[in-house]
Amino acid sequence: MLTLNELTIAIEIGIIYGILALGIYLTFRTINFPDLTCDGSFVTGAAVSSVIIKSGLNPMVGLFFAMLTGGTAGLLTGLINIRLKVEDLLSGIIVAFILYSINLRIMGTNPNISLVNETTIFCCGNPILICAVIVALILFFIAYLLSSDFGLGLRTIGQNKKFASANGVNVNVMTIFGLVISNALIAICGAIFTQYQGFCDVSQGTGCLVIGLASVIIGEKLISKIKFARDMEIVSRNFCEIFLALFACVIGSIAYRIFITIAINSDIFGLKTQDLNLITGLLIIFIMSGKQKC
Amino acid sequence: MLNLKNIYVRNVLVDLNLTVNEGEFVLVIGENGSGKTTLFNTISGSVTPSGGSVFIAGKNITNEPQYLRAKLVANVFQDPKVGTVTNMSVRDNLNMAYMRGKKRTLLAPSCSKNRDDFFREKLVEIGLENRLDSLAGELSGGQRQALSMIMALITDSKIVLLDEITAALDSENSRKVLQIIDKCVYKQKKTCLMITHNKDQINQLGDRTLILKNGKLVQM
Repeated sequence: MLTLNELTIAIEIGIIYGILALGIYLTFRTINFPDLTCDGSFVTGAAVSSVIIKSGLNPMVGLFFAMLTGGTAGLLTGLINIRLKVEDLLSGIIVAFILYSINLRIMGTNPNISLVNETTIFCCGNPILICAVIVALILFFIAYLLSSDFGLGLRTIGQNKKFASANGVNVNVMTIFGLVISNALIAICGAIFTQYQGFCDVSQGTGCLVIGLASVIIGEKLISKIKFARDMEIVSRNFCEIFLALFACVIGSIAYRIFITIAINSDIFGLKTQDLNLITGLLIIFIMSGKQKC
Repeated sequence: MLNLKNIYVRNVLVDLNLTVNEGEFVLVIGENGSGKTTLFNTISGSVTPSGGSVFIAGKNITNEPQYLRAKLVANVFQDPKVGTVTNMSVRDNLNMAYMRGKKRTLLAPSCSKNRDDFFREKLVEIGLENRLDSLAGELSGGQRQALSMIMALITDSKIVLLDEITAALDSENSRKVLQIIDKCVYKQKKTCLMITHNKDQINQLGDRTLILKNGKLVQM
């Protein structure tokens, strides 16, 4: 059976990975760009944050620089796609491939860095509370961004590029902007997760995309039915609807972690830790086999 | 108002010249593949000609991308699924059109009560004043095309391009859309170019009709 401690850890990791899900949501759902940079930018954030903490700086500085480097990775993917006309999938793969070497460079050629006995953001409080505050701030920022006129343009390019361009939206700049924000969020997630678990590994980004996508899809299934009252003030309603769509990603991430923890710890069908990818893949297939949103 | 000089688009338009005066309504006809849509794309900026110049209100905009020309040129596409965003509300579609040519900032929310009132006023003309919250995909083809028309006319664009806008509609919806053209474009003396294959429309609408043949325009 699942213990309370295991459940708490699942929720904590779920909240942290909620930031990854938000980043994936921005690329895959909002701007409709299948970005595979995330497997690299997640580790970049983790590596930068670890090196900064190791050098004795404040862990919040680590988060800030993780965000900057992640955003730069997104910028690189966008520029390769738009300026060099490389296909979206391939440009993400190339950058993720390049980032593996860069991450090793950042980590001083060590494949892993231990943060045991180092000061992290989790040293001064309850991990769930700290994660919840950070995720709430990010949620409000992204919801505010997407509910603005600028955000409406960003949302439109993922739905109908021709329409967006005909209505005065610079599709190229918006695509790059979306990639920058998305990868900055994913890098922040990597940085927080590495501080949470106390070590950074160069291969810890493997499978990020699938985990993020699973979280987004589960979240959409769980929260898609909620509607706000029509008589609610329009600015608030618009913000709440966007906030809820984003919040669904975080809820999806937590649900995903709880499901995985239950599957691995409850000895159902003799499943073990090494079956994690099998369970994740089957879970996604099961969810996606249901009716999709149009 | 609109001046095209020696426009050349490879394999489609050859040394094409066109002048449209302010307030003029011009019909463009021609066989399939004659380059009508390419001509419109050249004006709207989604196609950059390899030769020639495009002037609007005396300004050379040949090298301006489509998103910068959006404040000057409004489009209504043949397919209403292209001219509106299926998964967005009627309000968001109208907001997109409302901000055409304006600076989209992070500070201003995309919705407001004032904008809603303005949109409802416009939507009365097509009977959709109570459908602001509906998804564009929930509207019928005719309603979506009518919405596209309202969106094209919501800002004070100098030129309106109508690309076979009734081609995908049944006769009843075509009639409704033509009523909007008559009321909001023709009678208000908007500068407009319209592609059509419909003989009735050729007889009813337009100050003049141009035929596109072998990449060149011929006056009818």
